[in-house]
Amino acid sequence: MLDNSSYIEMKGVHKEFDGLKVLKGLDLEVKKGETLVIIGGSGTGKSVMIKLMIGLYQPTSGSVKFCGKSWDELSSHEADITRQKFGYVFQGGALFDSLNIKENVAFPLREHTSKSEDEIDGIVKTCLANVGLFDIEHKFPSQISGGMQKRVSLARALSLRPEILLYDEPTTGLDPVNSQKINKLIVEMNESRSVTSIVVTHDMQSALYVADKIVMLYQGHLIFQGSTAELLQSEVEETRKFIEPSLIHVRRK
Amino acid sequence: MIKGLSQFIKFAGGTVRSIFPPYCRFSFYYKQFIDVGVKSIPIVLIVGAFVGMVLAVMTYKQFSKLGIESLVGPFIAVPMVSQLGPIMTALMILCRVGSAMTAELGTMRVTEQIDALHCFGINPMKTLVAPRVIVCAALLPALTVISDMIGILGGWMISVQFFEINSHFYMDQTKKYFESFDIFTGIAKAFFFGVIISVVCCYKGFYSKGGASGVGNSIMQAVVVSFIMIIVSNFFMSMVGQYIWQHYVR
Repeated sequence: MLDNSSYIEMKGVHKEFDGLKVLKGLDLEVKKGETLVIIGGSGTGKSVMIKLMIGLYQPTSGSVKFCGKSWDELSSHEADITRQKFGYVFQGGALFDSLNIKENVAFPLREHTSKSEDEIDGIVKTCLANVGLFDIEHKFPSQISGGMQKRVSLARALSLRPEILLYDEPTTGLDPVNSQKINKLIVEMNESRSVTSIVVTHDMQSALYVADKIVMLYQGHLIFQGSTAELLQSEVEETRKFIEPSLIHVRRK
Repeated sequence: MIKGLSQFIKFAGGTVRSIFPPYCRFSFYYKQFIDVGVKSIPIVLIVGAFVGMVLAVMTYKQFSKLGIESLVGPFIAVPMVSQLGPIMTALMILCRVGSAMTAELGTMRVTEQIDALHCFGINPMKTLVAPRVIVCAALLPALTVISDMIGILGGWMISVQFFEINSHFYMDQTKKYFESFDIFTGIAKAFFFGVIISVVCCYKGFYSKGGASGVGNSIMQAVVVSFIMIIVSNFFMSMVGQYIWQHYVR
């Protein structure tokens, strides 16, 4: 369900934190309905990239546009309205620890819709079931495991049926069964609802499974942009170093 | 320093803007009402009573040297209502509630919960900061009145029961020197202290960084800055109050 319109556009994006240059001139386009995977070593600025895409950070220089409009052109209120089109799965879950699981998943629905409590109950149950969670609605985030928190975070992100989903390490810390469940869900979102997905991950199996397009971030630059097939054939040294360990499945003794 | 000050002024301005129109979710205000108000009453009662009692002991000691110990009543009530009540209540709320506000918002910042609110298109100033500021500014005057009353009662109890000052004379003297303007200045101060505590503590929590140690550092800074601002602003508000009393009330 791809079309050619550019959904998110980054042009000459630089980002610095207290003088530390994290991103050094990124150019990237994400098309509507596409699943983009961002790979790269730890601390290379992958999470910063998706926070720039949703307007949580402003670039030091360059521009980040969503649907043709730069985030810095929008007022705070307009930016809040625009962000309702996004779902964001945080690396650490970022669940509201003063609310139970049901209240967490229901939170965006209660804020932005006028649905009845019965409807909200139904949506919460469906979203939790989609990520393989049952009967945990009345528990608090501190009472469930880190992996479950991440899945609740995904359920919460899905509750408003966003047009675009940003996943920050969605499978890290999950067992292989649940990792695959999340991977399938990302693909299903793309195929059935034409959701645009941007996935930050270290997990190459996950990356290769879900990606329409992969980019690799290295020392603040995008050193690779292409399809999964092109990635596997890439001759770029850093890219090969990054993907080769994940292609070796069993060490012979 | 200048960057921090401009960030604080911007935050304070954002807080004012986020109050109008107010965030209409009753549960958020109710939780703050319980945390700031109801749960603070026991400590306000204990501290208020003992401040009033120690004021009676100190005043009696000094006045007995001058032979005017029967006049202790107004010298307990007036400072209690205009100075000690608001300040002691504010310091208690700072320690009990302000530090908890910084810790909660700081933890929400470092665990990306505030970012999560932004991502849902929800203004965290409106949902997290405004309810705390409104409730703190509204309840500090109420807690101060409770502290004043229990302090005056404690002072009366020690003066009458322990130092055997005539109760009627004590009350007559208190009424004679006590003015409603004293109550007004005390309540006005309490309102401003409530604003100072909530805005400073929310600001320090809101911009916490650096994990657990960063949050701890923010709490320390929030308490120290609020404490200094309360003491310094109390002096200036007392001077303004004195000026208004001299020129418009007396």
